[in-house]
Amino acid sequence: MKTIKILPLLVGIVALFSSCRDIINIELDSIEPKLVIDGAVTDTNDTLVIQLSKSVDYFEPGVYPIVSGAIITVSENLGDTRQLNESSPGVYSEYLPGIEGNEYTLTVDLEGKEYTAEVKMPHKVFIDSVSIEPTPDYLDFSGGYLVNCHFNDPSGVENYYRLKVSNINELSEPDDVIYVYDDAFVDGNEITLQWDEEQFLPHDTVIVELQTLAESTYEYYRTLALLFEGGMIGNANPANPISNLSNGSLGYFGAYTMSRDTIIIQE
Amino acid sequence: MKKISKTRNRLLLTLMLLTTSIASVLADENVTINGYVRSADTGEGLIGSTIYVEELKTGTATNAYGFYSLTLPKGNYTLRFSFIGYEIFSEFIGLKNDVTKDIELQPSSTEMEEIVVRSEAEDKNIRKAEMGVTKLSPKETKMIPVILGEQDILKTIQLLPGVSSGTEGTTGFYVRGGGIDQNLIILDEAPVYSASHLMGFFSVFNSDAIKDMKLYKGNAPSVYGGRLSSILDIQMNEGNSKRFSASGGLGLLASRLTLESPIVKDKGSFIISGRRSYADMFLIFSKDQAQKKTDLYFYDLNAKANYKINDNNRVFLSGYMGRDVFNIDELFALKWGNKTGTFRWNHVFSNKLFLNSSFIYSNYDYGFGYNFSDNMIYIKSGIRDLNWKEDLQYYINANNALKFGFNAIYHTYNPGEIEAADSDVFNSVFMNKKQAYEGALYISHEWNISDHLNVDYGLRYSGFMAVGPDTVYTYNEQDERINSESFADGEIVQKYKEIEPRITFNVILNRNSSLKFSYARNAQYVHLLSNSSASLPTDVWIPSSKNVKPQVADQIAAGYFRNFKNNMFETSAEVYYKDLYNQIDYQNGAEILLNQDVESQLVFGKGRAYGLELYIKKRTGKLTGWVGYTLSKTEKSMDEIDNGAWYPAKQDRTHDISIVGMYQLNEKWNLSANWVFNTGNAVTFPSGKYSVDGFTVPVYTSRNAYRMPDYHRLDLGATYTPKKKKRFESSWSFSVYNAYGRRNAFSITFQENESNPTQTEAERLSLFQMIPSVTYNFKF
Repeated sequence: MKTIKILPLLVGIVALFSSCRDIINIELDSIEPKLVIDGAVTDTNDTLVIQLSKSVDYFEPGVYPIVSGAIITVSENLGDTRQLNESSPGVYSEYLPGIEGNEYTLTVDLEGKEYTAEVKMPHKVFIDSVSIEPTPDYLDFSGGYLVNCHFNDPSGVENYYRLKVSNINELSEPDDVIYVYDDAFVDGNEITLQWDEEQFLPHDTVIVELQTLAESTYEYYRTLALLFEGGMIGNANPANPISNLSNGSLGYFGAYTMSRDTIIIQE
Repeated sequence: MKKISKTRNRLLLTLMLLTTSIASVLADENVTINGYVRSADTGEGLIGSTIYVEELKTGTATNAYGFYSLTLPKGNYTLRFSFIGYEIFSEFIGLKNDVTKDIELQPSSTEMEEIVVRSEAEDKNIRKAEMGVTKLSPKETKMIPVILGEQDILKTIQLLPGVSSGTEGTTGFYVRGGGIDQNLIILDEAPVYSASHLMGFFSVFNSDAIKDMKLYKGNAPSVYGGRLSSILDIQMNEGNSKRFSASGGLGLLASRLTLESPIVKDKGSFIISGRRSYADMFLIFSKDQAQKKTDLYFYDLNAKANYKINDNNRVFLSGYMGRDVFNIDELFALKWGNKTGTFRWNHVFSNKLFLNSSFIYSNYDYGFGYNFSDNMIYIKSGIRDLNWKEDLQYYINANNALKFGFNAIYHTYNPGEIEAADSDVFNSVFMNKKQAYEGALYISHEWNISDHLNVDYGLRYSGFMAVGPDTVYTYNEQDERINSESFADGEIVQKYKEIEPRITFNVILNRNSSLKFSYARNAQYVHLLSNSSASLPTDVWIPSSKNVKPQVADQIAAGYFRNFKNNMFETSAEVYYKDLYNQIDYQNGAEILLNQDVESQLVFGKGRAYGLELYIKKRTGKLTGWVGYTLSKTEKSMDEIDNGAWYPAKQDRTHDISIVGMYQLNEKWNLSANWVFNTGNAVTFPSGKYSVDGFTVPVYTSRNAYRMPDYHRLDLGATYTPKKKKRFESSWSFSVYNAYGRRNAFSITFQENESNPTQTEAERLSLFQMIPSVTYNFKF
């Protein structure tokens, strides 16, 4: 498992050396807006949704231009090709349930250029059980409970996971963090992943979601997460996340399975 | 074909030069005077002390053990023995036969002696034609305010042109644009892989234990090798062989103590020096839970003993051990340290031939642990070196000295192993240990051709052999393994060799000025991979292998040196140019930590660095100090990064200025100040942003196209030295680091504004503003 928490290290060093953080003005170059393709095939959502947008300069407000009028098609290796409809500006969708083991190819035609990507739907791993434990002392917060997710990693297969845990009331809120894992050192073992990003209080209903990711989807998220590490362990050579899209497009075309479980925190 | 004949030609040329110079010497009636030059108060051998023959306007200097040998025609001469900080000793001597003369020099009685960086003295024409060498005496470091009042050799050399500091709070330094791993730091000949404590605040060298320090900026003579950019050769004190002495200091963050004593008066002595910091002691008063349970400390210990068996044999045993610990409760643990041990035997074969044999052990290890889902996982790595060296110095006559020998090292690398407290969750993993032999043969000739020209030239033939047991993979463009080869114990995995010629010319124009030219080729067989913006001890050292070739550099340099006003002012202007081959960098999105296939994450290419170094120094008077300015550029080019375009190396610092001043206010007070300025590191910042899966993601264009904000700071210091009582000396040092509290950026993080997520901002983290310190020093 190769995910390392840098926040505690940073907190320790910063606190120790009377250091200081402040916001400063930096001049950055402008760039031509680039196309962003964002979407993934899943096994639980029957509709595939692809969003197209464009990038803006870094200090501009976060209002991203929508891209309409693109022709998007997806084909399955064991099925046919479907074209997606632009259901709302910049959002293209079509009925396309994800099937384990199938390969999907995306083609986007826009303004005379073509962007493609291929992805293979990974095999599903189910959550075995979910448990809770009181928040340990070393974390920033206390008095609540942390949620643990237990599952069995299939041995002999390269598995890539993503864990998402949230209060049912905050399910639709965008995430703050990406936690992705590969089974490199734990192949075939019973695995417990602890969500120590936030704690939950008694009577909270918590949704735990375990995703298994296609390799290129894992690579995308892993390199995306590197960009969110700051401070001391900040990546010396940040670069655009490794995408499976061709022709210089930003974003990714992913595939993942979802296994969900719910737990209500008891005292 | 071409390569072989080039090699042969180089060897032939060297041999030819040697035979012609030796031939000119074998004639006539010469006598040899040899011996040791020592300090009269401690018995320490004086390194680089000059012995000048007035009548012949020639002479020599002592070697690293204080040994000298001078072969002259029979006759009467006035010999002058001198060394900075000591009274000159002159003697008129009639040389009819070979004679051994050991000299003891008296320390200079004036307290207001020149605090100097030894370079060109009046005896320019007998000084070796060393170029780009800086020698620092620890006396000098005591007058410069460095962070938290600690005297620090490494911080002092970073105040000289051509040498820049790593990012504040990190270990490592850059010499002439080279990377952090391109500096070889040796303590009594043992390599020290991580030369700093506490995130770069303190170096691992306790200056109470250090006698001499020499820094070569890329053109070291052939006796040295193994790194491209610099050699920092540090010699420990031998220990007072005349009487017991103790010295030390008590400071806000760390304290130190040194004890030295003779074992047998004038025959043997020992020295033990220790330091311990206690930054974490103040944390128990913290209200923060995590801070309360934080351990943050370092300690180091230097020890050395020596014994003179007889006039021709002397043995030394020295060792160093240091450790840094940083634990945050049960959340995170970081520790690293060096351990070295050196056994040396000096043997004087004849009055002209000196031999030193060394057996060296060096171990560097680091471990870091973190809490993963309530399990402590430890990741450990390290390097262990066993080294055997034989160095011979043959002092043919006053104008010719020959040095030759060999060096053989056995390296063992542990690139990483995981240990998990709970092995149900984690499979304990071992990354294959790697073994390699690194060796070199060298020869060099120091030749005083005439009053106006001397040259130091030589050849180093170095090689590297990675051996099994090991399994080696080669990779395709998708970083997948495409081939694997297994090697048995001792089987050769990969061999490399390199011929490294070195030459430095010194043209003495007149009493006050000289010109120097040098060329050197260096090979480096070990590499440091670092992908964090700080240089943490978790950076990985890897040896050369099938996939990773040795780094090689060619450097040429030229300089003009001039003294003014009877050596009160020293000035110099040097230019250099370096071509670097087989440089390593990371591909985009590289995974380094615990990656068995880390070699697949690397890209290879070339580099180049060039610059101008200007230096002016005032050596004498109430006010002394120096100003150094470096203008430079360092770039790399890799096919896989920006299509091979030249991009700035991280450590490319266009401007680097150091102004250092020391003022002896009166008998008791000495004030000092230093101001440093440098252009920020080259960094990769975003130019745009977009949204994916609810995240705001930055867009990057070229690598290292931006700069961190400029760095500058002022340090002030004052030392109060009350009158010396009999044998007891003491002083108080006060200092302020970053006196005007400039917020120098340690890192800049681009992130969403907390209250308004559609707005992005740049957050600067700066580490140290205005840190005061007080230290009480004593010596008796």
